[in-house]
Amino acid sequence: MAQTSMISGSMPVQWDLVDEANKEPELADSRLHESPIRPIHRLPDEILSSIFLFSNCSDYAQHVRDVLKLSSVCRHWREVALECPRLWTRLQPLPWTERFFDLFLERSKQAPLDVELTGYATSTESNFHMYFQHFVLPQAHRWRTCLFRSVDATKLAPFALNPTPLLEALTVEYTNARGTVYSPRSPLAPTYTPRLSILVIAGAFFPFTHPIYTNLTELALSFIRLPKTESPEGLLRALEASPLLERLRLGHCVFSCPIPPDSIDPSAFLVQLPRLRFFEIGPAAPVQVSRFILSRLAITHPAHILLKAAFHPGDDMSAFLPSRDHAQINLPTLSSAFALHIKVSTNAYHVRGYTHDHEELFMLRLGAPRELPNIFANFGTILPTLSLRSLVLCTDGRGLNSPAIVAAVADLLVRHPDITQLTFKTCDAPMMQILLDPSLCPRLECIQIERCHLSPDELVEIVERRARTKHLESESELGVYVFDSFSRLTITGCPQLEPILPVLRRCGVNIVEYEGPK
Amino acid sequence: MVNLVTSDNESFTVEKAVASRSVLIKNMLEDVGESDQPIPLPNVTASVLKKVLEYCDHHKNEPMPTSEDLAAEDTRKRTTDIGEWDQKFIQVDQEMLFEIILAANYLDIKPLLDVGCKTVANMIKGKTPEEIRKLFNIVNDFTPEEEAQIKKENEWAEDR
Repeated sequence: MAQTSMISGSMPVQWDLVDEANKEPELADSRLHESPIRPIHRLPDEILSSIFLFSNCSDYAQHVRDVLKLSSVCRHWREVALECPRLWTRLQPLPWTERFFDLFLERSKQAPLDVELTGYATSTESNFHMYFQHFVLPQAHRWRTCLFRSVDATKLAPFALNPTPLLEALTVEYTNARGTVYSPRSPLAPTYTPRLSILVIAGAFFPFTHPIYTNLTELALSFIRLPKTESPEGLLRALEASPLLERLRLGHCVFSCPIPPDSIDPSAFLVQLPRLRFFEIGPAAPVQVSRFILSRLAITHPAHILLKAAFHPGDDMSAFLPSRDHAQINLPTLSSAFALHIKVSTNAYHVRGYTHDHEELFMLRLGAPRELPNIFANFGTILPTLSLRSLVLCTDGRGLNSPAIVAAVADLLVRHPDITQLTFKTCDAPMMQILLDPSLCPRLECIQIERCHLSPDELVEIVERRARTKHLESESELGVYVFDSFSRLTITGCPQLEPILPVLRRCGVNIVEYEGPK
Repeated sequence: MVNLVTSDNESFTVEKAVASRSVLIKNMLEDVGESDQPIPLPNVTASVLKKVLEYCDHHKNEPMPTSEDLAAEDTRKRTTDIGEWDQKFIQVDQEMLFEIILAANYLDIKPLLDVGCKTVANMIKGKTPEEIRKLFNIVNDFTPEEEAQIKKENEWAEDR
């Protein structure tokens, strides 16, 4: 009579058949592949578990198939898979995966769960309610991460949420791909979240006084039209409750309460966020919200800052940036750029600041009319750029040559006499002709020209002017213009300039490099 | 410099910063203090240690993972993305791959252990149980009855 025992979950095992099987390796085809050296068998169970956990596929249906396959390879793997509760903790409703919820809940034992509820993935309303009522809500005490996406909030409203003592990350997204800003809906508000560190909310809202904004390391609020009762001051108070914040994203937040332009009190408290590594803000409405919040933050760590703002004619960066003094002291990321890349496209200016090691410090995306010279006026005045040594000007190929813009760039260069490298990309001749003015960039070492509309004569004139000045200085010892460092010219994608390379070299430029079209 | 001695009695003299990528060695150095005494590594052969030290040397200037990093890893979904250099580094035969994983586990070099585990996970992805068995020379030791039961248990997940 066969002895029966239990292995690997609920499956009965006939041990005499197992013994028999061990003696007869032809039981399954794969046994023919057995060899004396099977290195994977030397791995301890905890490492095998770790490998299984890395097999986590983003496609949930595939994930289900994968974990079921892992538990079907051999007895040892099945044992390891079934003794690894975390392998079975992901729950997401797809019409056919609902059959596996009981299995996954059983095998996950008491491990914290990763729950995902995506509206469009549930096939019918009854499926949704069945899943939510029977599998999601009763397990709230086990949630570790929870994601509600594209779910109709009105369907969640009737349910009360149990405490979520294990919840570490909560994502509630009631938005759509088109980026509509919703009036806030109130998602299920967890009342007890002592371990919550990541909170991502889109198109939904918890009042800023809610204890959920406490001890967070990551906070993202977006696509929210806030009620009048919620002010930027309230948001600052919420941030103050999370001093260890590392990532902060405030996108498409519309405040309904009035924010007078002069409402920034210099003596008001500063929210210290010493561990912040990434901060994105905007576009916010009204535009002063960005300025209000930035003026009250102290981010002394070199965080990566991303600012987005919509400009109107006549605006400049003072509309959304804090004072120069505040930026210099409390936002070092904004005031320590070694290089600036300014790209002008049809409806926006993109300004990127980089360190000496080419690491991006900040990116400003300024939705603005094409011709907005005020933006250039702000570098060095409102936005401190004391360390600036390199400037890249780039257009979308349709020119950047209105007299106002050219004058603004020239003014920017006057205010930054320590610039040593200038790059022009798809610029027109009037822009580059500002280099004919010997008072600009006296320490210029390198000019790079890429796909620019510049005639050979115009370039020769620029290079001769800089080189001649160098010659004059060495002869006259006037020392007014110090052009002795200009020594490198790089030309890319300008076939009209190729024939004059020998002429340029004779002008006294040590290195002239030419590359074909890029 | 730190002197390491492998199970096959070969000596490696390496920078402290390189050896300290191993939490095991780092702790030993901190416990013992400055010493010329060689550190025996009875579970690692010379060929494997050479490879492990290559990894440690390449990553010697990177910050060590903190307990907070490890905790955050649990909250975020685990991915099998591997850096470009690490991918080339780990292109070794199966025997060496598992030796590196075992050495990384013994020496407590979590990032290297993860690279090894991710590599094996990537090898497994998309394969059927039979293909996995062939890949790693694993014996199918289920009885026909057990196999039938597992197949029944999983049938809903197949071909969907």
